[in-house]
Amino acid sequence: MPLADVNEVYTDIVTAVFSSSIAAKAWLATAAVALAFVQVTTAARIYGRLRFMPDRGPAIALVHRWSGRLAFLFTLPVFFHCVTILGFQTPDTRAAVHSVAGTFVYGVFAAKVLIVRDRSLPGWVLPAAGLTLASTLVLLWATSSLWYFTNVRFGF
Amino acid sequence: MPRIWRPLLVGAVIVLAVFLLAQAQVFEPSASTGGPATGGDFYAGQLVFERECAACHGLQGEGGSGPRLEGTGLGAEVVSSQIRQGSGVMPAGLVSGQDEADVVAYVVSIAGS
Repeated sequence: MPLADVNEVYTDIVTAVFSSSIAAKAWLATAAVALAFVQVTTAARIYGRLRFMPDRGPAIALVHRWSGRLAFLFTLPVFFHCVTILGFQTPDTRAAVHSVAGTFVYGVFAAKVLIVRDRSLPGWVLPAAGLTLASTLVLLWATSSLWYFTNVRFGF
Repeated sequence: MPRIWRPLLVGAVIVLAVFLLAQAQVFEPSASTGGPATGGDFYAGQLVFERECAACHGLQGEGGSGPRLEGTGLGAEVVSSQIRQGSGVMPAGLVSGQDEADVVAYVVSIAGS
């Protein structure tokens, strides 16, 4: 399949639901950030914080795992469009910050996943990795979706 | 030192891979989409279009209170002239400079010329 067709097929798919490929990214990233918020709150509960939430237990862990998986899935179309079509761009500060954060986000994600599975690491490492990942996602969202909603338009 | 280096190393490799992939822009729109032909940026133009033009011409140029642009075959010179001179309720110079170049690239693309 010619490279240009890949872009057109992607655009055709996302514009079946959204008004444009950029609007699609803005909303998918918003969903990912909302799920990242769920990740942080459930992780805090697992660590014994946020006592107003239901008791820690299998349900919280299940919500934590699935919110993470879904958040990752929501980022994939965004990654595809940003990285393989738009690429690394620095025309202004916002785009430069977004490009740098976007370059790091999957690296942080991979490190966090590996840290989860390594029980030999100090206890502070996993929360630090999780908060770093969530912060990176929020930075990405603020420099793209939030900018789009406030400077271009708020809609699908 | 515990095995903290392992996730950090894997993360660093992925960061590097993503950076190289982003530099390659393997699926960047070709000239046939009209993006680079006018010196404007297709995606930047899409944002300008949504902000400044879509209210009348529709989000995808399908038309509204303003005429349809999608599939009309309009060329860059015609689009640029229309933007600069305006027409009817469309004010002259609605966008200018880089925004104009970008939105021309976008409109030429959706016009399919």
